[in-house]
Amino acid sequence: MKFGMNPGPYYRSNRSTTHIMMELMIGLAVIWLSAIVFYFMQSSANGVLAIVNPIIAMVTAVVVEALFMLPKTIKEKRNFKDLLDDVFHSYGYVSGMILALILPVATSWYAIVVSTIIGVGVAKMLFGGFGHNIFNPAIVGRIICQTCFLDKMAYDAEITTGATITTAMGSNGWSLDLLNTGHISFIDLLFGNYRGALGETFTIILLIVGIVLVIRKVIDWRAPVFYLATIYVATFIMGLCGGYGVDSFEYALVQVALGGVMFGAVFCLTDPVTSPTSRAGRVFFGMGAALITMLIRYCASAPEGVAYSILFMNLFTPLIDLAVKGLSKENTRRNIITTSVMGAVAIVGGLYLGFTKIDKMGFFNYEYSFADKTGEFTATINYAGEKDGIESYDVSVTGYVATNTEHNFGDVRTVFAGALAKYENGTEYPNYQFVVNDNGTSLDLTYEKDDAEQIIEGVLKLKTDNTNDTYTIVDSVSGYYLPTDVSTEEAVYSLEIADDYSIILTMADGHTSQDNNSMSYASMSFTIDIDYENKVVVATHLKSTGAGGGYGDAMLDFENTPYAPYLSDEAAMKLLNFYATYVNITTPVPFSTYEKYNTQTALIDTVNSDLHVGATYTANGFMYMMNRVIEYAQYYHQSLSAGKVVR
Amino acid sequence: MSLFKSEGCKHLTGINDTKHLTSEKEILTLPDEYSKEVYVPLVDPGKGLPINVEAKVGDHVKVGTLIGTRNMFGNLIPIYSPVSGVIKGEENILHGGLGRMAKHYVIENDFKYENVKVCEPFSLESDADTIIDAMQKLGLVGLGGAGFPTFIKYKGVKDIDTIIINGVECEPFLTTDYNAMIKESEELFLGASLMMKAAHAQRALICFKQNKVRVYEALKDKVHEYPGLELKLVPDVYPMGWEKLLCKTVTGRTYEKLPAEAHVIINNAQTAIELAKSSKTGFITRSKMLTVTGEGLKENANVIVPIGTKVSEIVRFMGGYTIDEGVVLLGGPMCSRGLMNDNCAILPQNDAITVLRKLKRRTQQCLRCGACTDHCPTNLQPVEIKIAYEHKDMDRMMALKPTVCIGCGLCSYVCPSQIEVNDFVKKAKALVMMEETKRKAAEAKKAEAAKPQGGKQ
Repeated sequence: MKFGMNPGPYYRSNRSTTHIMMELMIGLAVIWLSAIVFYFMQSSANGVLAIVNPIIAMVTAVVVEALFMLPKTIKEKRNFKDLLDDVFHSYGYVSGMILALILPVATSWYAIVVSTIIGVGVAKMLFGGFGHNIFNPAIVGRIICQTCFLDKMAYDAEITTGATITTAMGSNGWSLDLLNTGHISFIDLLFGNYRGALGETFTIILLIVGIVLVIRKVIDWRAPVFYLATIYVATFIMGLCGGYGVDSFEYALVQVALGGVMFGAVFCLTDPVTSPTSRAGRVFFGMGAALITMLIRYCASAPEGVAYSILFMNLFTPLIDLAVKGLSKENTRRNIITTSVMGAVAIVGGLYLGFTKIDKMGFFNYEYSFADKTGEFTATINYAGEKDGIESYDVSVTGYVATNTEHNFGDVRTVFAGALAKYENGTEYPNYQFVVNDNGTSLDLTYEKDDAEQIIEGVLKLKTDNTNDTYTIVDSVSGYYLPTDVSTEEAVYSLEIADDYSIILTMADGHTSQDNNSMSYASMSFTIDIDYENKVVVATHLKSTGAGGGYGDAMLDFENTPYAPYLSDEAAMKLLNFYATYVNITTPVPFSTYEKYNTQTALIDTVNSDLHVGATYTANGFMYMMNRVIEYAQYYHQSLSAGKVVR
Repeated sequence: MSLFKSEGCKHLTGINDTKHLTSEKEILTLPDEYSKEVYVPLVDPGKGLPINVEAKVGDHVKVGTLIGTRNMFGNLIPIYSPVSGVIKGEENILHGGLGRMAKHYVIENDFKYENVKVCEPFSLESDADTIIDAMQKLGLVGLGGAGFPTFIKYKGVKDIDTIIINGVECEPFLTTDYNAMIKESEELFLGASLMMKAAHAQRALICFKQNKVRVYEALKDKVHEYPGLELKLVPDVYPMGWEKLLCKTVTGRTYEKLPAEAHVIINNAQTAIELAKSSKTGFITRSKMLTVTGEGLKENANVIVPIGTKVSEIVRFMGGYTIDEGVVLLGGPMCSRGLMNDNCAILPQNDAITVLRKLKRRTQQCLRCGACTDHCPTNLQPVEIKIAYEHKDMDRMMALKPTVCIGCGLCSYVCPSQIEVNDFVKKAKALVMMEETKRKAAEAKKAEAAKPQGGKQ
């Protein structure tokens, strides 16, 4: 027998690095799965992205690592199988997965690819590969993405703009009013029912996965526990100083559940390669990261400070290792003192932030905006006083409806607006009548651009006056607006009614209505009085103005319209009808897109009339705004009764 | 669970399975044909210095005839012939303890096993000095592995209140203490009582792992007949048998260098048993039970062999090797070093021959998980020592104090990346010890130079 002389011990644990990494991957997969389920519930486009993004990142990471390892493999004359084995044991795909989970769902694929290349290639492989990297590759990737591809990071596949809840709360003085600033409930926050980075929102699931990984000894509990505890204690004190009293517990919980704190704690702070090896070191590491997170979140302009804080602490890891060298049973005093000092800094920081940063009264001088594919709306809501238990709020909403390829109603409406503008000069304002011989209910609308390259057709439904066979178009379709680059004075329009009842409009130079730039502005203001006792909207005084100015002002009273908790169908109908008068919508039906905005009945004309879609969208947008106002008002009312806010 | 400190121990998974190979098997006695010649090393097992040889080649020796004496801390420790027969000559063979070649006497065994009394029989009525003197005369050494002369622990100590009988046997595979404690419980109690007497201690704690149910059942009834004896069950973790950890676990006391600082003397269970046996006869310990085990051997069993038998002979008795490449260990797989060859004699302190297949596992980059730091019984930071060693950063290495390493191998055991962490620590330990000596010498030289010249001429 050949006598082996390899050093002992000759009895080893079965647990390998591969085991650890695979268990970590299972943990990450759970989060990934949660994200897939959540985003599929939102829309299938989001769901597909939630599946595809991590795959893109993992494949990129593996390819990058293989490329980095290729020269060595060739030099050592090893085969492809060895290369694959090396790549498998380099665990780049774990970094790829983490990176994809800390990016928003609608991050463009090339942003993910570039971030992964820089994260895995530069931050990891250039430093010597697995075990040698100073910075967490996924965090580096995330920060590169945020720096270089900020406009390619969207939180929804269908909504072009929108801030995260953390940012929204940051810009609203870190008040506890989740519902107000983030439009989500506390439970939503815990279970991840809101938009954030792909994997960071599922606080409870992350917590469970973290606990399981700690029990499985995949990660060490010290860094994440001290990280979360430091943030919790400091924000609890913030809450106390901010006047939240007992609700400070909830306030601190919200701060811990917000943004990437939980994900960072479970998956990034615990990355063994970039964190200290000693137990004391990990305690300091976690607390330091917490302090920097708070510094960035509350004092700097980046509410999502977790990634930066982890990157910062990665930089300190060798220093911490050097500082705690020696026997781990020694220097207990030093460890306790360091921990206490860091804790004290957190408490003092909490005191300072609590007195300076929390804006208790930011609530009702409030601006809110939302955007989706149909357009963008901005609302300002002001508390107007209380009388006999009835609270009044002044609300004004402005917005536009964007044109897009799906519905080219904007084009048609713009054309039509152009037609109106033309007629306005010589015809009686505001009604135009077209008398037709046909007994149909529709009128073809056609327009040609000056070079006649493109002809857009729309079908316009008209109100039929049966007695004299007339079709009425009411002019004040609010918000018909011409693109800014074509002023009404300069543009040349010609509109004629052809023999086949077509309206032929010719527009002069430079009309860009085919582009997405075409939009229809509108504004609306109303006062809403709410009677909490009887749960009714006592009166709503609505005034709508088109951007063209003077197309129409109208009053609408919602007398004693009940709500519970949103405006009733009846109210929705009233609003829509009010609005639809302008464009003559005849058969309103529920429109499902707005269900997620809690509008109980959103309405749209079923006839394939793009023209009406726009008007309905506008109406729906305003409807949504009104519902939000009622929602805020209730919440504010409750907060007042509970003493959470003072007036 | 400790916040800053290391865990200090770990339950080795599968440890019960490895013990199961031999624990309940019949104890065999090595037949005469395998011990025709026995080997007595002529070197000190500690430092490898030559001993004072008293017997000459050609002498007829009996069991207990003095071969030579070795010196330890100024005390003479006798080395006896373990068999009767004729000293055939000298031979240079591997010394299992030192790991290198050393001179041995070859004694041809005549299988008569004639005994020589090396001391008068003694009993519990004898006074402490008689017992300690007998320990010295018997040449009794710690049979748990280290081979430290037992009497040195007792000589001149004061304020000892507790004797700890260490039957923990935390190494995987080993079952000799387990079997000895079950089969020779009377001797165990007597030996423990003798040790109490020798140290004027008030109690003796017989410690073994809580999963050794049969030991507990064998001891629990009789233990009350001996005043001061207590059974202590300790957790099934490694390295529970390490003196400091055991002392802390059963008495709650800690010490820096010697257990006597904590008013404790720690002895192996088999040492107590052998002491008790010798007390009745005055004869020396001439044979030793070994756990001969491992996946590389055809048979696994506990075998009683004469001290000085060659490993190769014992392996032959067990049916030979079944593997082409592997390690042969005198002891368990955690602490022992692989032997260069099996042409090597059994020493009294050896308790096992373990033959294991060479581990073929993929070594990966250190992921800095800190598992080694989390488990080190001496609170070292093995991963940091490894980094410092690789960077040849002597100051950092010294600050990390690798000299306290006890070589238990737990750091390598837990390492998920299969890195030979323990080996790095051992290398660093050697470097640091050299550096410390160097620096001390330099300082002494400096002090010498700084001394004011002149004075009395």
